[in-house]
Amino acid sequence: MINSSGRRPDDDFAVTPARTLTEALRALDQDQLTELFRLRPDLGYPLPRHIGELVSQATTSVSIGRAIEALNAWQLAIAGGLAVLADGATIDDLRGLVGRPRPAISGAIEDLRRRALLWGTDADLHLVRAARDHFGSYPAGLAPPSPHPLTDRQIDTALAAAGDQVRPVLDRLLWGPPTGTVRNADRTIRVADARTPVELLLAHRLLRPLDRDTVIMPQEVALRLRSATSDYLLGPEPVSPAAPMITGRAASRTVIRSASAGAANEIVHDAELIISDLDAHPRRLLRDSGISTRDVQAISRALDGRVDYTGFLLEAASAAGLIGSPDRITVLPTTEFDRWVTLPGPDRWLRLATAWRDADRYFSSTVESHPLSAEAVAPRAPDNRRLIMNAAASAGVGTVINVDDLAEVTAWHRPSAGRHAQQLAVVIGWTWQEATWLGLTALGAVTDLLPAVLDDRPVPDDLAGLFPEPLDRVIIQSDLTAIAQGPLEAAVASTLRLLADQESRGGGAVYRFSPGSVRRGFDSGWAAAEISDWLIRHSATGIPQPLRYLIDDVARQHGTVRVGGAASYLRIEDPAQQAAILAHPEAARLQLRSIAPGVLVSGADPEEVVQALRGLGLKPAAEDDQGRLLTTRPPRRAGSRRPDPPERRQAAAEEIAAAVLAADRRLPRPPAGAGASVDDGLESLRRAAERAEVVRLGLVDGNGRPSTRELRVQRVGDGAVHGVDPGTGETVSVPIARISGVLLGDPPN
Amino acid sequence: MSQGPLVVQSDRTLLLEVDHPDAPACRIAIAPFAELERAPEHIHTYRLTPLGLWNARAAGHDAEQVVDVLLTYSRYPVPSSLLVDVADTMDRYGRLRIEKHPTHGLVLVSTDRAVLTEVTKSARVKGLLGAKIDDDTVVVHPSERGHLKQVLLKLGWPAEDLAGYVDGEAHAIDLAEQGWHLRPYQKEAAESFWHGGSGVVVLPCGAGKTVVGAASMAAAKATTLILVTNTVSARQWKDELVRRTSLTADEIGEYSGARKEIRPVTIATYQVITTKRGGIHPHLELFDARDWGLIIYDEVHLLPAPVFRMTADLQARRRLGLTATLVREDGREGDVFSLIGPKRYDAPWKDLEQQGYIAPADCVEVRVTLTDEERMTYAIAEEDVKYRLASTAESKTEVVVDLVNKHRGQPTLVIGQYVDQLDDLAERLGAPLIKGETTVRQREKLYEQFRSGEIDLLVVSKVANFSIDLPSAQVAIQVSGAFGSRQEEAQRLGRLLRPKGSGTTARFYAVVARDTVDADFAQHRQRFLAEQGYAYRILDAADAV
Repeated sequence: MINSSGRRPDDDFAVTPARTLTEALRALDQDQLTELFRLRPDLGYPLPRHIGELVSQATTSVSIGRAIEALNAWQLAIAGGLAVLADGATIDDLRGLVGRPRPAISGAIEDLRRRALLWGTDADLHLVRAARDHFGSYPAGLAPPSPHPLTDRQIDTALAAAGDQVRPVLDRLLWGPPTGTVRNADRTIRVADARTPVELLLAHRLLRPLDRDTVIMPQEVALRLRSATSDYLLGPEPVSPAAPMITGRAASRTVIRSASAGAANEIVHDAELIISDLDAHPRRLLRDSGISTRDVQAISRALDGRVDYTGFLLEAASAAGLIGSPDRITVLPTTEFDRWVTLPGPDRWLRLATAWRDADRYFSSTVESHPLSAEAVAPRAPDNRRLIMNAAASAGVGTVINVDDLAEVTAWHRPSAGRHAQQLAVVIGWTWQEATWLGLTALGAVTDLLPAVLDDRPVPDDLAGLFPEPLDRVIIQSDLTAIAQGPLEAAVASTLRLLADQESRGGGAVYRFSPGSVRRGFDSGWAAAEISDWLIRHSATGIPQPLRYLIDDVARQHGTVRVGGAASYLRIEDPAQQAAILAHPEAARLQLRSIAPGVLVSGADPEEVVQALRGLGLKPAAEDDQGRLLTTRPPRRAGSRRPDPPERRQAAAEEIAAAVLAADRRLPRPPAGAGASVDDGLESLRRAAERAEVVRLGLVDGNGRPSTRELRVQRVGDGAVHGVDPGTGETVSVPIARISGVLLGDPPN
Repeated sequence: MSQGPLVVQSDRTLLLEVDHPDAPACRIAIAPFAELERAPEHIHTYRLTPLGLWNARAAGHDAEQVVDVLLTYSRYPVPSSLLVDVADTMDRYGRLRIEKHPTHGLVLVSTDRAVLTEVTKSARVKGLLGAKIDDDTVVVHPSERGHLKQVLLKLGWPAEDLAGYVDGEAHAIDLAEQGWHLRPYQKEAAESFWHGGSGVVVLPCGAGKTVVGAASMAAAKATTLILVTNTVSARQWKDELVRRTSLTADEIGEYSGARKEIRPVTIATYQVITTKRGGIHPHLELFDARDWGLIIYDEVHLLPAPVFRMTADLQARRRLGLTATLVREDGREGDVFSLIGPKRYDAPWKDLEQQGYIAPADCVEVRVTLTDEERMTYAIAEEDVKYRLASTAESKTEVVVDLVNKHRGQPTLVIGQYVDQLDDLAERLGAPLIKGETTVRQREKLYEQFRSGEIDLLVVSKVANFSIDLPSAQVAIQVSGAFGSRQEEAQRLGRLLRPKGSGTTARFYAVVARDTVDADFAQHRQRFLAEQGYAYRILDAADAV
């Protein structure tokens, strides 16, 4: 963390405060730099090679815009307050604007400093220029500080003198924009000549002309007027330094726990169910890489036709890497799914819940389009989701939450989201519903599962205990149902789904045997005895007599068409020839046997049979190999794609910080103030031109690729730096817009 | 984790492990709100439906109790979505009430203005409601009371009908408990009905539904209209009422195809009421013929659609529905709920069987292997005659004869669908036959002889299916039948389920031709019977006889 002096705590020599953002960042240690990359992840892409490059990336308006969007309402208010004040403001100046105690302000200052949005000590605060620009010409609706401000007494006197008739004009300009259009604004008006309210205000210097047609309310006048109603001067609604509290009635913890664990169990089983369905019926993807509405409806039949829930499950399964598409044509279970089904219940659930938490898509938005469709990508989704769920979590486990309160808290945390209230309400609606499906909320309250997901902890033991152990046995009854009184082991469930039709799902499962389902088992290569053996092993009640009859009935009918294996066949028209071939000693070697008049089969390959028959003096004609026994292929699997776990992302920020620090240390330590971003650098370039010095320029080409080049500077002007390449002697002009940093002094060898 | 006996499923079914020590308590706790769907040997399946939950509300249970029962007995945590659903559904009942207003007459009152607004704006209530009295009250046209309740149920806001009933024309009726007594569950059923006002009593065949009707009449002490399925059933009701109550035969009228008597207690058949002539129902007058104080609907699950429409106009009169099952094959359970009333009493078959009120039945499917000749005939037959061929195969007849001989001396019924086959069987067995053309007089005579033990073997066709009391039958052999109909199965078994003094197990044989469509249909029966909790076995013909 950067302390208020902006220096490295372990660097006793650097006693002077930073004079530029570059200096302030150069003073950061690895942890602080890591924190910066964590707070502003866009700074790591492309990877800056040294602090100079980092500074130039961090001060672009795009990056600053992102950083400011990520601020909460209080941090944003303080940044806005700094934009109102002149550069080099103090915390006390800010106190005058927001009327809050020092600690609340210095907390926000520290937050801004950690994001490299400002630098300097608490007594000399510098908002980065691009950040200042972000707030526009009239931050908080206020004019820039006046060169010669009126004193409070002068303002009060002038107000009293101008009278009540000027009030409407003042009220209109009070909260900004502070400018108004007036003809001949810059003519001189004496109090005695003033007729209209605007003229009165101009005469009393409560408005000033900005140009011929514009008047502006001076900052000190606006602040004085604003201070009459509140000591928060940056807007009509005071911004609180802390997020609004969510309160609500407390629900029964026992009921909430049970309801959340119930939902969590349910979603794990339902996910397994629909992924297995994809195994049995691989679905084709549409051109937008989504699953068609018709397919979703077909899949949803197993889930009482709940299409929205089905879409959510498909999205969650995809985000968790349990389904994928190897060829972008069909969607299949992945190898990861085969591993996932063997995990304990809480781990399986956590996998789905964290995938949801981190997914850069709004799952529920695909209800109107197609699940898995490429269109649902929303980079802000994980951030918003976390915000909403953090807001919910702040109410405490078991508090019944009004969803409208969530919008208010979320808007405090992300004023940028709050500005699109309708959209925010939709996203909150989705998130809340999805959280309920996952068991993160239940009966309108946050459950104990939510903190586990938000803080990346395992499921608490007492809750994990509510996930039932998978069973390997079912109860088979004489109405031909098999009942699982709990979740089944994946292999058992999968076999049961083959031999019977699943009728009911939930805490347990009901499967029904029918002639069709048993036939399916036979078709998949099971024999009657195998089915019976399997059922005896997995039935707690043996095989009821009607089921035994059913299996035997199907087996009897199934056997009316016989299928065997052979490598080749012979069709012979002449019975005498057939008899002759069969009688030949060679027939035994070829494993020839007759299966019907005129048809022989052989265990040998067609080529071998043809050769052998030719050897016997016959003239066999080969047929192509259609009609051969089909073999069962192993189940197809898509390759896994696991989402990045958050620790990986943390590691990434650390790696970037370390890389930048190491690269920067390899550069010779330039004299203080020598390395400078463009912000500080134009002046130094001009100085270098005066002395014809060699500088090293950080450049960014048209594609955003960074590079460096050395230049003996001759002149700065016309939007470019002109000079000579010291290596080649070539004359070079570099546009200033392409320069990302400047390093003075001779480059290292 | 709780080790409760109940597994709650996402599709709103409840799986109850019957051998669990807590199962009996759980069964009692869930009975008010969950319908028993299947009751095979180990796991019983109940279903939560809106109607079931509203039945529970009508019986005074609230959502909290239901949720508490689920949480108490569930083996695993119950998903929140289900709990929310239960609470939401139950909360819908009673928001709207139909009441009697001192000055405005019949009114619809709501405790929730939003609901009243939603309902009154619906196009479907057009013409059913009158002027708005205040924000919470709307006039109901008295003639539309039933229709309104139907519509409100369809809109998902079932109304509680608290408008009360007319007393009807008083008529002295008392139970005559001489030599018999009302069984505890019969008493409870009649009382539950009477306190609820109107509604349905669910009792298995053979549990004495007629007696519950008689007890309800004794409570109403008013003129009563009884609607039954057919003439034979009407006569049985009459005999039973004469035996069980203070009513004399002269006080009871029969309104059927044959007779049109209107007396203080009138028994009419559905058929005669629904007869149409020239596009109108000429016998509708019956409903207005007297100021009925009570209307009883026998076999309410078979109530034909026109009777529903007529019932909609009778909402001011007390209505008692009697049935063995609330499941209707046409799915009109909602109409039963809104027009006759909520379920007021329910006793599962198995409970009554355990208490000894109905006899256990042993179901045996006898598989007959057809001769090669029969198989060939069957194989090349057109699809539409295959079933008949399989059902009437000669090989089956021989097995039936063997089975009858095996049980000689025990009162036995042989039941079938095809008259030729039955004629043949009756002749070979030397037994009397009841079929469609048999006169009512002849039927009654034969039934009486069978009851008295004069004859111990009867061959009957499907016409004899409904509401015929043959308490002495111990063996039934079904040789063919329109399978797939749950009602038919229930009826056939009902014939065997009357309590037997000897305590012997009744036996139900179904003779089935192996590897034919006959066997496919037998699967439906097997499933139905197993679901009802009967022991079900399959035997080869050789082993059976």
